[in-house]
Amino acid sequence: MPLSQLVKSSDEELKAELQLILNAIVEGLCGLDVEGNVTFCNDTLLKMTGYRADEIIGSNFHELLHHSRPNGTKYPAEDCAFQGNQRPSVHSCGG
Amino acid sequence: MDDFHWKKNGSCFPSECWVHPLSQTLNRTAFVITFHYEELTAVLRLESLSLAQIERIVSKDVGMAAKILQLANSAFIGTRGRVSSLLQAVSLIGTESVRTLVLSVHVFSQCDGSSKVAAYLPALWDHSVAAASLAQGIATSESCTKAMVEESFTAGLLHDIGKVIFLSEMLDKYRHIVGTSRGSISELELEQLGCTHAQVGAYLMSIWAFRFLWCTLSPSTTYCSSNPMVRLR
Repeated sequence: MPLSQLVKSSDEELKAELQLILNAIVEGLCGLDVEGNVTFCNDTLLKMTGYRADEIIGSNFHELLHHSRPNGTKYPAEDCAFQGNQRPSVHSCGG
Repeated sequence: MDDFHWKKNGSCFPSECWVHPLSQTLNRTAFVITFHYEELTAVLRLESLSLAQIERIVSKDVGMAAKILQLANSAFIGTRGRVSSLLQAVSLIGTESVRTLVLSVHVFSQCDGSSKVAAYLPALWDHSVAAASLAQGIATSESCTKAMVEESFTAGLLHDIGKVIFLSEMLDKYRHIVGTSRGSISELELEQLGCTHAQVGAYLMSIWAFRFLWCTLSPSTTYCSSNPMVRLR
């Protein structure tokens, strides 16, 4: 097998394996780039939101899932910690 | 952070989020967000819960399920024979009491991140469970209504929740207060911290909107050792 094909094959296997791991996580999970666009997500997030993977991946997280407050008023993107250049520091909070 | 996210069908769901920064390189994944339904909050908001609903929620959390089974089998509950089913345990303890138990376990688990704090929690937990069971026993022997019996359990279980917060937030200072207290710990708390564990607990309960409890203390209330943290309506 040519080296390029071998690399491509193992890359795909690795991606598939990572996706399996992500999908086994019971919490919703997604990755965002610096612009706040979704780069990947797992099955739990799709079940939580009702979206298909192709509808979420590439979309802006804030515009799609975080656009309004519970009372229906607009949630400005500039106030959102997940948006654009406002990179949050490491933190975890419980409810 | 506590937050809300929107579904495709236009409804929204409460969630807790954890943000994990990865990289600041353009075109790469900058951070990962994990979130899940905040079922605990949802549970507290519901007017009534069926045993099956509670069992479903509790069974997702192994630690919580273990705590409930442990309680159902403890001497406090006074059952004959071993309780091995979660449904049976929930039924035995009572739905309202389990709701409180879920909340208490959650608060305790939020505060046991530090091993120094964690060392104090088992004793406080045992004391709270004992107070809850005794309060429940007194209410039962006084032929109170089923609701009041369960509320007595709740009041007992949560009466020291303010201490958990103090331990978690100011371990060394609070340890010193506990160590030097010769009389009422609350008076020393008031003197050195400006509020008592009862007031902190009452404040927390007002945030959690416990509909069946009245918090009798507020930060502006002058502390009196005869004041209970909560009283039954």
